[in-house]
Amino acid sequence: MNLPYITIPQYATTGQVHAFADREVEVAQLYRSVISAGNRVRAGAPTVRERFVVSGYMGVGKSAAILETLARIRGERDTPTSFEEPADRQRWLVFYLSGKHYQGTGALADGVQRMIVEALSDIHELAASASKTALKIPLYARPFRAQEAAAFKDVKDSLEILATTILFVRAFLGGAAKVKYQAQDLQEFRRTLDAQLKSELKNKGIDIESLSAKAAIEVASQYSLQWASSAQIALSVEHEITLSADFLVDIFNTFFDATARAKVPTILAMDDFDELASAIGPAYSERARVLNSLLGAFSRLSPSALIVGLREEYTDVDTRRQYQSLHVPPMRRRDAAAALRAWAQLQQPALSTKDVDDFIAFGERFVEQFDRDAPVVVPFRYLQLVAVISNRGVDPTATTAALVRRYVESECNREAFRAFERLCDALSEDDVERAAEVLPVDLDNYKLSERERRALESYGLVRPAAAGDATDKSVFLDPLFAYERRGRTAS
Amino acid sequence: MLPALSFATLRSWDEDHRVTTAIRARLSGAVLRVPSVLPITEREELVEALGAFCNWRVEHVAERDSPTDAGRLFLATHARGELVGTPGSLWVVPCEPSRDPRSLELDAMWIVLRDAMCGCFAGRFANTRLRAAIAWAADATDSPSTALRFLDGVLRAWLAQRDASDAALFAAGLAAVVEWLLRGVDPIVSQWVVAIALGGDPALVVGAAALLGREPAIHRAFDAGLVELYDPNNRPKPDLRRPLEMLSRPDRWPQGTTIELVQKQLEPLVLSDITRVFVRKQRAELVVPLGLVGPKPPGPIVTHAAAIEQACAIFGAESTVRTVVLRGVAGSGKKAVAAHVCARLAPDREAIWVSFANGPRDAWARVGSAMKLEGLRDFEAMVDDGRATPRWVELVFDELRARRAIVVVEEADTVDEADLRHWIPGGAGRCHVLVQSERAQRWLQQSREAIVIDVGPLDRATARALLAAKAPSRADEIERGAADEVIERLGGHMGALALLGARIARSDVPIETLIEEKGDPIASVGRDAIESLDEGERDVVDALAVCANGAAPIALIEAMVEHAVDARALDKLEQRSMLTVRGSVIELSAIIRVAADVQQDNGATRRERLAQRHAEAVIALFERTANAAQREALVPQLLEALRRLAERLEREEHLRALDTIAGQLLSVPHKNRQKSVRRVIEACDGALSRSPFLALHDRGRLVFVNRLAEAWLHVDGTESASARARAITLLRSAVADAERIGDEPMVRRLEHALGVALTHSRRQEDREEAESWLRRALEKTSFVDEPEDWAKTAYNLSAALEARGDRPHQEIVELLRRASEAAKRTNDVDLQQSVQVSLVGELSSPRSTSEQRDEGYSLLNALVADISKHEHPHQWARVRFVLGSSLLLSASLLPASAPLDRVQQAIDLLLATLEVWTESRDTDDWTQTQYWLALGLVARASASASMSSDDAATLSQYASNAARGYAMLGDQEGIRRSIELAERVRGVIAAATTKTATDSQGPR
Repeated sequence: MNLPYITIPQYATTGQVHAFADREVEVAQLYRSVISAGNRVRAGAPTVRERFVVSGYMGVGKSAAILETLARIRGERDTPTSFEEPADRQRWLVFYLSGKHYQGTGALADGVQRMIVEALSDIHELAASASKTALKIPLYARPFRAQEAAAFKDVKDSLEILATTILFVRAFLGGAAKVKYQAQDLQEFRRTLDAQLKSELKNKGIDIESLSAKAAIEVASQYSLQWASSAQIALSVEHEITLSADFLVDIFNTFFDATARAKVPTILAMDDFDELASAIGPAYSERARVLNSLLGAFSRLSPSALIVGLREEYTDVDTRRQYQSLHVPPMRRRDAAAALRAWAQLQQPALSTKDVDDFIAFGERFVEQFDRDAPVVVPFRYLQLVAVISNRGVDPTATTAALVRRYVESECNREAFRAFERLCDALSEDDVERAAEVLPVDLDNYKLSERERRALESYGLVRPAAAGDATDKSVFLDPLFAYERRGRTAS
Repeated sequence: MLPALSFATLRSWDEDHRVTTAIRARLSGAVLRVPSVLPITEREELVEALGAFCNWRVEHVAERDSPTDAGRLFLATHARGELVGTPGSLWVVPCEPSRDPRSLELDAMWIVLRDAMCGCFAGRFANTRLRAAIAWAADATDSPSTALRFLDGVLRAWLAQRDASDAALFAAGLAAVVEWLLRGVDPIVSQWVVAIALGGDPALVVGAAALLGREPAIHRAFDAGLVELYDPNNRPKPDLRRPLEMLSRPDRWPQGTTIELVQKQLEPLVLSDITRVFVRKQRAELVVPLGLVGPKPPGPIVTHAAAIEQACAIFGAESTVRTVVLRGVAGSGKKAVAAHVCARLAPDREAIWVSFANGPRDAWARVGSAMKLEGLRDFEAMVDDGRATPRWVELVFDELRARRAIVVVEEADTVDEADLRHWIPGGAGRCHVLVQSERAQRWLQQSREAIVIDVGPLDRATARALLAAKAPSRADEIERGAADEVIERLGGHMGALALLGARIARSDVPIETLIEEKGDPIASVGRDAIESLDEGERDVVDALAVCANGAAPIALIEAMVEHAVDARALDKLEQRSMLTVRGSVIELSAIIRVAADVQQDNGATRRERLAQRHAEAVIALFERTANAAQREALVPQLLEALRRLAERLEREEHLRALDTIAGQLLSVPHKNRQKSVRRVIEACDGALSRSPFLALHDRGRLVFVNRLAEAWLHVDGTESASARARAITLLRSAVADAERIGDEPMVRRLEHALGVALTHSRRQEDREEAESWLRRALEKTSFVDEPEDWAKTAYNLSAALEARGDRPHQEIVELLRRASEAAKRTNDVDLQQSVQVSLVGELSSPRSTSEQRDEGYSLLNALVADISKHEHPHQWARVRFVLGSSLLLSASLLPASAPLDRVQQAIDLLLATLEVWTESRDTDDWTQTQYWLALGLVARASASASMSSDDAATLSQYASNAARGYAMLGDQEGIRRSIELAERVRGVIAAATTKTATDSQGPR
């Protein structure tokens, strides 16, 4: 087989909806819940606050499911006719943030601020041109129609307030670091702060007596005071992040209060939420601790619908209690072809029909030993495996297991590869099944050294099943283990 | 060499490629740790790669700064403790790698960036056959830098030769990346790294590297960023960086790739110390015996069993070279003991037999030649460098130490006892040495802890057993003691007893009567043995007796006895212990040789006839032997014939043979040629002073004067100038003598020779005089009837004109044109091509008109096309060498702006020739090509007013190779030129560095 070179990026970027395949059930469930919440806001219900966590194994397609849902809400994709439609779709506000772009909530605040500024300028442009084009990613906002903009002045102002306040607090924190405020100065300090922020907002033409402005000023000064009083203490990373999260939540909520008053449904999707803690370091337990406190803080957010995308290992009982859980399992074997086809059809120059078929048939080799309905395909890893091996030219005499090993060998260091090989040989049949379906496996039986485990973890081949629970030693094994084992007997 | 790929190239490719977009998203806010032990180049290139992929501005920041700007790539100058990423930006932070165990812990992102590199390459080359290179790079590299080097190596090889095989492209890529990784690393550490990569056999490293030891070498390699993980408690073999690991992964190589191919690609790039590790590995793997075999162990019984046991026990050592001296008189059985020891250890150890009969230099030169050592390609050029053990012999020893071998040294007594230790390998290594000697070799005992094993007389029981085994029909008689008296008289001498045993078997007279009562009993046994031979056997023995050292190739003996020698007959003689057969060489036993000599001395006419036949046979055989190794084997026979002929100068045929042999020894390259030149000088001198025939025959005398002068002109080294002066003096008087006797052809021949001798003189007036002699010779030669002589004389005249101050270009061109015409009328292809190559060189010179240059160019193209690389690789390379060097010569005389393309053309041509010289192991041409390549790069740098760092490194490499080569050759002129070259190279590199620094500062 000699296929053309096929490019599938190592890391999916936002907006790659073509990565989506076979997530109808999950998408439908999420879509219906979100639409229902938004429509209730449009109908004038006073407090609508739905919270969802979309969880699943790394690379399983959580982002794709979230993006597909948002695209349907925005009317960019067809939805089955039996589904409820969003009422006044053009008045819905959809925010999409990816943790891949914002590490730590401080960064998130910055990102939101920048995003809003962009959105506002887009709104102005749209108003001028009366265009109906959608805004570009990363802000998934459906803008107001130009003629309706005046009717939503409060909302627009609150967006402006949100941006200005974040900017102001950031500027304030930058200056405050150099001055040590004593406790007796705090009241004086607060007065100065209020005055500065008010004048800042006034300059932007915002009515500082409005509900939103007052709330924002209150939040900003409270937060700054809190920060100033603790500035003499060395701030731990965690402390800083949770403080920022609280502030962000409060400031966002002043905005969401405004939108609720204006009956504007708001959807805030925070994808790759676990990435927000990647600055903490590689230790899973540390990350899990910080993420849990962040999730707690963010559960206070009051958009009509909050969607959080989170890796399986970081979800725990608390998360499931605070959020409606939506699990994205690996794809079924029979649907792998759809994912391959979606990518094959995107290639430039276009692949011939025969090449597309060959590519799909080649991909089938890795999973042919599993039941057609078995959920054994983690799309990201699977797509990489098939594309990489296909691009490197397939030795027709090589077994499927040899192809998998070659892939792992070229993508990991020798230590990780040796550990992979050893574990592949040692796995019981039962654990091979569990690895294929990304179910927790107990590694105690395999006497993996700490170094081996770390090596495998650093290449994502092994992940703790419950990162937040230090006593739970079970892990998720990448399906590559199962492909290798089953590939030994494959044709 | 200019890179074909660089990070800058990538920028100009597909900037918003999907691959790079994805990476940018992934890297945002990340902190990438870079081990500080990695070479600065790799660390900088990683940043450059990140910059290229993310399109972010790179900012160097100190540890205490913590800027928060987005869209930047912050490069921290110090390691930081707690690390927090900056949103929208990327931090690259140096870190100390783990030391327990030693681990680089390269971030997984390195692999991602490597794949991104490959992805960019794919974007450009996926539709070409270079697509395969992407898979190779993924297997062979572990970082963007290594991927870049690999792909660059492949791309350059492909650009140089579009139809290069996959194997050649892969080897070029792998060599490029391995060279890059080893650049700047201590060569002794590099040797270990390569040895570990090739399997880790400690025997692959020798010399200083072996002294350093494996463990310290690994630690130093780790500190040079070449070892990814070394955890000796769990895994003795370190994980090397992936390109190095790839050296031992043939399962990942494209079909047809061999380690030799990789080594060949590496050879011009790295020090020979490193490539020799490859050679050792190949030898160890292939177990290519050197073919220096010894005799089979004699049967049917084993004598000196205790000595054999003792030697085998001593040779059980693994890591130190052990030396055993087998002491015993000639014929006592040393060789038999050595043969038995070799046979016993044969499964494990290769036997390498060397004989010091012609001196240790000759012996080790043969071993070096069999090893095909790089740098020892031309043994003629090997000079003693004043060391007790010359450097080149040390190289041979290094290689021997790496082999699991038993080196058996025969005829060690030709070397002084105190000097022998310098000519025997010792120290750390895997080989062992077995010296056969009649002495105790005390110096060896002291300096090498040599153990002496006496190979003494056989005791009665063993002697009886030996006789009984040789004469089974009379075994009972021998057992009863019938032979005890003769055993006593022969002093238990094994060789004599073996001969006697054969004699007993064929006789039924009482055993004690088989030895004469008077005289030397051993000589008597030898004499009897010869007398018992039939006519055919006797011919063979007699022929061998006049050969050098009583040994000769079977082909020579067959030529002497004028019939094929039956293998069964040889076998029979061997069973009777009269000779031994080693491969295609027969060797007479010492007793028989002495006995035959004595008998031949008694029959002087027979001996003279045999000597004459030997000389004729060896001349004829040498003439028709094309194989260099076979020719080489005949050189001692030529020298022996020369020696014998020089003693017998009374007849004209002796002189004719002597002249022919002298001509053969002078004209055909061989090892130790200088020694042969000396022998020729001695022989010709002797002939001129002693031969009564020459005293009476003027013409014959002049022939010898001419030959003697030719020999003087072949003297190399420091004496070459005085030798040339002697040749000139001889020829001057010879010309006068020839004129006096009116022998016109001889006058012409001598004038020609004198002209050639003067042409090479360093004195200007001599060179000018050369022209007039050559002109005179040319005028007397007929273009029509003697085209060969005419072409040669004209060719040499053109060389003399070239050396003249005003260099009459037009005349040279015309002369060479006519010489070319004359040469075409002969069958001498070498002559035709030599003349044409010179003509091309002249036509391409800056003095030529543009028409002439065109003519030169087309002629050259014809020549380039005519000469097949396959059939005449040397001439093929020679033409390209001449073309390359003359292009450079002409380019350097043109305005600096004009000749960049010519310079590049010259460099390409020289690179092509370098391959041939590297293959043919021709040190002289290899050195010259390195010199000209260095000049080429200097010219290119001057013409383009810039130079990459790679180019600077390559340039330094060529210049140092040239200097090393000239030093090895002892070429004083070359050494002087290479010193000048080094100055120029330094100047060019300094200028390029200054320019780069100025450019990087930019306009103010």
